[in-house]
This record gives sequence, structure tokens and C-alpha cells, in this order.
Amino acid sequence: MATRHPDTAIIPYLRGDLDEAERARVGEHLAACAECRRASESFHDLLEDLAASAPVPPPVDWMRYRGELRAKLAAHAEPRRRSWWQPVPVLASAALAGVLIFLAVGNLPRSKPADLAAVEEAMLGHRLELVQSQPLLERLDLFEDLEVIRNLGALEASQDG
Amino acid sequence: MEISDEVLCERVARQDAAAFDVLVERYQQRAYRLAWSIVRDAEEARDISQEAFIRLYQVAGSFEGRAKFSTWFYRILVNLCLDHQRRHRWWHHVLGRADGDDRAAALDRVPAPDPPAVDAVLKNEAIGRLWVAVDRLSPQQRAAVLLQLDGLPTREIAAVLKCSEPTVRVHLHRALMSLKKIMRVG
Repeated sequence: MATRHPDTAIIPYLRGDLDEAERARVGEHLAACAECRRASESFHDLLEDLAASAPVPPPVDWMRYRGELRAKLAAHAEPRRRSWWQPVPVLASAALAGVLIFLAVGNLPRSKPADLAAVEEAMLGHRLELVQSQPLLERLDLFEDLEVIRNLGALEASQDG
Repeated sequence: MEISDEVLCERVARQDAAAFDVLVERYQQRAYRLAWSIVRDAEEARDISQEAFIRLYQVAGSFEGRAKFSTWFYRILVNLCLDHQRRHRWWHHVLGRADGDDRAAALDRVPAPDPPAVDAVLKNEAIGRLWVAVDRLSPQQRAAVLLQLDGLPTREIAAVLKCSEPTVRVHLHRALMSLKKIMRVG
């Protein structure tokens, strides 16, 4: 019966990375199988070449490296900078909103809305003839004074008393 | 007696800045070298390795001590490198760059044969081709090859790459088969 080739165990075998039992099994196979032995030799050469020729990274100024790292760490540790509006306490925000609303409402024109004013003007225009034909209506404000005159006696009596 | 990495990591979890500094000094070169060997760009390797230390500082409390500190830290670092590779692959593809900027320069830094002879020059050329081929391996295969060069046993490579030991064996076997084929063709 043909033995299975221990393909994926050859590299760990070369690196001394197998337990004793597996190491013995792979060793026995390599001794008997020329194909696996050739594979093992080529892997061995490749691993040696890789180890001997690993490219060297560009040099680093380690003082500067650690300085940058400290700065980055500090930036991470710092709580996120608040937006300009966040530090304002809720009550102050509410007060500010109240003042703004008051000012906005206070500055609104006192006149009625344009639509309503137009309706009133139309009605007055319609009744203008009636108003003009009754001169008394032009002095309606006098009726308020007549009310005062009518109650003048009672007013004097209360002041004397 | 030197304090172990694992103890230092526990101290970092308690926000001990001095312990963090010691770990950085111990691992800065290895972290930078490994990051560079994967991304092949000095600036990015510096950024990624620094980011790995920042992660270490932030999540030191999650180190449970089941694996070696080095394995745990390498996992953070390699994940960052592979994420970086994934994010930048399309960009390199668009630019027609096989990988980072330093590859050609890196090949220049392959130790020159001494004394210079025809055989040595040919060997040097072959070594150059070998590393170009390493750069073309899949990210997992390349990481496995580079980690084994860093001396990590298969078990630890598996822990770093979050896969099984048989998977690491397959990665290494396929990687070396590809390299062998390229070297033979070249």
C-alpha cells in the first residue's frame, strides 16, 4: 500500500516544528521517498535563501518614532473637542432661545396679516357710502365721552364722599 | 530580573505609562520590520506599527494571558497590516503598483554578495526575483512566510492569523511551491 506523501508537514519538519511522533513518521517517509526528499531539499534551500536575504526596511529614528506615538496616544486619549454650542448648559440654552423668540415676536409688524387687512378694506369700501351718509358715525368716539358725562354726577358724589 | 511582557501588559491595562514605554522599546523594531515586510512602505509601516501600540494601550485589559504576549500583539499588528492591504489593493491596482513604494529600494538593500563574481551576481538577481515573488503571494501566505522568518512556530502563526495549524501548513506549503515555480521559471 502506498504511503501518503506528508506534503504540508515537510516545512514544519525542516523548521523543527513537529512533535516527536510526527517528526519520526516524516523522517521515515523522507528516507524512503525520493520525490519528497527532493521537495524537502528545495524547500530547505528556499527557506535558507529567504532567511539570509530578507530585505532590510529603511532605518527609523526611534526617538522620533516614540515621540510621534506619544502624540498620537495623547490625541486618542483626549476627549473629543466639543462643538461651540455644546458647553452651553441646558438652562442657559433655554433662556437664550426664549430671548431670541421674544425679540423675534416683538419685532413682528403689528399690522394684521395682509390677507385679513384686504378683506377689512373691501368691507369698509362697501359700507363707505353708509358711513359718509351718517355724519354722526364719523364721531363715534364721542359716545365713550357721553358715557362719562352720563355718570359724571355719580363720580363727583363718590369723590366728595 | 527582567519583567515579562505579560506582566508589563497587565500594568499597561492599569494605565501604567512606564510599562507601556518598556513594551514599545522591546517591540518597536520587530513591529516596524514586520509591518514593513507586509506593506513595503516605510511611512505606512511606521503608522501601522504605531497604531498597533495604540491599540495595545487601549485593549491591554482584554489580554487574558492564554497566549504569549508576542502572539497577541502580532495578531493586532498583522490584522492592521492585512486591513491596510485590503483597503489599498484597489488603489494600487488603479496606479498599477504591485505594492508599496519601497519594493525596488528594498531589493537594492538585499545584502550584496561578497566578493562580486558572476555566480554571486546571478544569485543576487535570483534573490531579487524571490522577494518580488514573495510580494505577489496572497496576503495570508505572505504573512505566514514572513512570520515563520520571524521565528514564530506554526502554533503561534496560527494564533496570529486566527486559523488552524493545518491551515498554516497549507499556506506555507503553497507559498513555497509558488516561489519554487517562479524561481525555476526565472
